[in-house]
Amino acid sequence: MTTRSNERKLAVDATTSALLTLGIDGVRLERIAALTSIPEHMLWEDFDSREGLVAATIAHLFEQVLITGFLDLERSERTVEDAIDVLWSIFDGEQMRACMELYAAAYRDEELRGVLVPALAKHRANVRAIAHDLFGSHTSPQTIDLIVRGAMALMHGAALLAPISGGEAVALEFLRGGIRSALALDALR
Amino acid sequence: MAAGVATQQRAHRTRKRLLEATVRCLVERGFAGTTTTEVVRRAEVSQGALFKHFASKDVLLRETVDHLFDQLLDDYRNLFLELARSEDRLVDDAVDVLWTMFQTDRMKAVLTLYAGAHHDSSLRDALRPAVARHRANIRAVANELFASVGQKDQLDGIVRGAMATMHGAALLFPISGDETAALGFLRAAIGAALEGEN
Repeated sequence: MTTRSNERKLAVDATTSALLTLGIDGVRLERIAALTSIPEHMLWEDFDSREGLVAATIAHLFEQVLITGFLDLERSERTVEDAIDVLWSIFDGEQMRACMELYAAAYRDEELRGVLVPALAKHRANVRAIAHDLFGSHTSPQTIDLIVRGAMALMHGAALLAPISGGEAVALEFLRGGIRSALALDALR
Repeated sequence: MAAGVATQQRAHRTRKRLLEATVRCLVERGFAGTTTTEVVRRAEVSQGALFKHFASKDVLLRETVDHLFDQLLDDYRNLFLELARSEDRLVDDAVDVLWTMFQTDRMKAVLTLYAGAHHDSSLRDALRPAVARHRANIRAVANELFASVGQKDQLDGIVRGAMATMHGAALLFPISGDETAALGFLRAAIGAALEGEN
C-alpha cells in the first residue's frame, strides 16, 4: 500500500470512529487531520470537502459490509435463517452504526443526501445481486426486490432501536416468516 | 387564587413552548445542534426560565421524549380507532396510516434522538424507560384495536416487526426516495403472520 493510499485509509477509519463516537457533527477535516496526523491540506487535496471524505467513507463501509456478508454466506448452509443471521451480525456491528448516523443526518443535510443517494443505490444493486445468487434463478426479480427492500428496512429499524429497546429477536422472527411466505408464494406462480 | 391559576397556566405555556422548540431544533439542527441556547432562542424565553422548568439538558431531552411519545400515542389511537371500523382492508390501511405518521416531524425528531443515543450514553439511559413505556402503550392500543385479527403473542411479533420496518424505512426514505417495496413486504409479512395463526 502506498503512503497516499495508506493515508486515505487512515482518514476513512478516523471518520468512521468520529461518526461512532461524536456523530456527524464530529466529522470535520481539521479534526480528522488532528486525529490522524495527516496535514489538513492533504485531506483537502484528497477529498476536496467534508462530503468527499464522507463519500469515500460510506463507499468503504459498504464494501466492507458486502465482503463480510458474502464470505459469511459462502461459509454457511445458505438458508433463509443463515442469511438473516449473517445480515443481523452485520447490522449489529459498528460499520452499520456509522452508516445509520449518516442516514439520520441526511434528513436535514442536503449535501450529505447528495453523497448518500448514489452510494445507497449502488449498494442496493449489489445486495440484490447477492440475494439473487442466494435464492436462485427460479425466484422472480420482483420477489427478490421485495424481500431485499423489506429485509433492509426491518434490519435498519431493528439496529436503530436495539441499543434502546432490544427485542430484535421477535422482529427477526417476523422477518423470517415474511421471507418464507414471499418465497412460497413466488414458487406457486 | 386567580393569580395562582394564571401563574400556573403561564408556567405550563412556557414549558410547552420549550418542549416544542426542542422538537423543532432536533428536526432542523440534529442532536448535537440542539443546545439549550438554541432552544431558548426559539422558544423566546431566558436560560433561567429553561432551567427553572428543566434541571439540565438531559432532563429537557427526557421530557421532550415523553412529550413526543404522548402525542404519538394519541395519534396512533385516533387513527387506528378510525381504521378499526372498516375491517375489510385493515392491514393495508394500517400500514398506510403508520407510514404517514412515520413521515411527520415528530417522528423525525424521534429518529434523530435514537441515532444520537448510539453515541451518547446519557441520552440512551434517558430514552430506555420512555421507549419501554411507549412500547407497552402501543401494544395495549394494538391489543385493544386489533383483538379480532390476532392472538396477543402473534400481535406482539407483528407490532415489533412493523415498528422495526417502519423505523428503518423512515430512516432510509430521504436517501432512497421510495420505500414502496419495503411497505409491500411488510403488508405481505403481516398477512402471512395472521394466516399462519388461523
